[in-house]
Amino acid sequence: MRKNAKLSLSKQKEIIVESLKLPKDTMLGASIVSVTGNSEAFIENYKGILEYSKDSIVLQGKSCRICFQGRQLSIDYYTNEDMKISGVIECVRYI
Amino acid sequence: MLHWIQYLRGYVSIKVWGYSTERFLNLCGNHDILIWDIENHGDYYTMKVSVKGFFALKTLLRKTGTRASVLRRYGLPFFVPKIKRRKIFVAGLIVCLLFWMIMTRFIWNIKIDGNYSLTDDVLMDYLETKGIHTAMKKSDLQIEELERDLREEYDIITWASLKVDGTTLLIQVKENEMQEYDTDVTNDSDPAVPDADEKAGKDILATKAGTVVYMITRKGVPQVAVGENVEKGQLLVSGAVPVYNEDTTVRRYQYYEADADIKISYDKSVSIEKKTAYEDKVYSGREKKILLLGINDKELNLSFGKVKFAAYDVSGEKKQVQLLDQLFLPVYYGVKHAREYELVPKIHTEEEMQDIMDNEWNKILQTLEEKGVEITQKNVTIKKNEDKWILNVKMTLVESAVKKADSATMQIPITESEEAAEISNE
Repeated sequence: MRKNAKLSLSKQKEIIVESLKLPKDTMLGASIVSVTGNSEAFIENYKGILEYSKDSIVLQGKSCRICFQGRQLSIDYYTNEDMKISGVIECVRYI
Repeated sequence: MLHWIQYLRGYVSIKVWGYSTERFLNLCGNHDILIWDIENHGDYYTMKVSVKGFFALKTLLRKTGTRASVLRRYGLPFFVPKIKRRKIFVAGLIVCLLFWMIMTRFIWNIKIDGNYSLTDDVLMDYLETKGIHTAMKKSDLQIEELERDLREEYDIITWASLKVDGTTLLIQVKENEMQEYDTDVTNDSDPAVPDADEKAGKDILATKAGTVVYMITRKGVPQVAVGENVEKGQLLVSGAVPVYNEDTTVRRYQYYEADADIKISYDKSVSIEKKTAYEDKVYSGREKKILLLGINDKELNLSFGKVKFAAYDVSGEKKQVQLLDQLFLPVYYGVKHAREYELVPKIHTEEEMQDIMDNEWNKILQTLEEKGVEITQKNVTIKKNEDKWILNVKMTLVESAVKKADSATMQIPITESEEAAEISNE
């Protein structure tokens, strides 16, 4: 019952944001992932790193987890706002 | 740009290992500590962090149960103390900088562009008189003034522009193409006034024996007429111009530099003999490289072993060592190639001989054309023998075959009235 109420609240929020044409990333806290080819990825709006190895990087977003899988993955820079991942990206998954 | 700021502020490469390195990274982000180049090496991570950030890591390390060690230091804050120990190096660096700063305040090269009639030397000499020379201070340059001076000094220069490019003074001029440069342009004497000088008269003499076919005299007294035969060295136009008395007797002579257009026609025959047999160089394809080193006129050939060919050609290129744009050192280097050949006796075919003869004839024509000689009549015959061909050319040429020579002093004939006056004086 409570879960349903939470879902409908987020749905309502989304409808309002969409109808007012407000930016979703700031209003809903959605993560922005920009992938350039298969070698670079920029990620904004995330909470932190959950796992970091050469083959996979798992990030905690505000609403979901984002998993980058590939080879020779490394983090070029990492701040509170955004980060850049480079290497051979094979798969981006939202968990 | 960011890299330069990081370098100026200093950063360190660190190794992080321990219980929860991911949490450590997240905390760095939350505390606004910039970390970059994060690499996972299995058991440990390496990353780069600013010096300021590194000191702020202490609490985070304790909180997350990780440990960190510095791998390498980068940037100016670490470089300065290191350099302080190398005083002579720093002094050298400063002296070098000062040297460049001082040297760039002078003009080290003068380039002149756009001059065709006026040679570089002429302009350089003029610039020298104006105090413009290499190794002069840039601040002493009065560009506007010099541009004006150049235009005023040489009438042929219609436009002049001076530009300082680094340590080079670039002078660009534009010449008036319609006006032929005359060295007397700057002469103050008025050309309307005849420059009669009793000692500097010039006659025009023939340099070839022949017939005068064209003659226009501008200054002087013509001594021959069109159609007359002349000998080599014969006087054609005299620079001594007689001034007559009222009774048409010669009072005196005024000497001028005779000026006339004269063309003399003369016959000339040329005979060229070419043998049909020749020796052809057949290259065997064997080649030997010789290195060349030279100082001034002395050359040193460096090769592995001697050149063992019976007959060979040597060709190559020699380069001079050059510093900057204009500074040449008397040191040469280069590579020479010795190519082996064999002389094989051969005989030219008829077509080849024809080509050779055509070439010879063209060469004659070209030489005559370069000298400005006209051919009014020609008779070309080729005599073909088995072992040689002979080209016989009989031509009638028209040429301005004249030269100038100092005028001979003319004796003034004594008139009867003068004789009478002399007698009465006695």
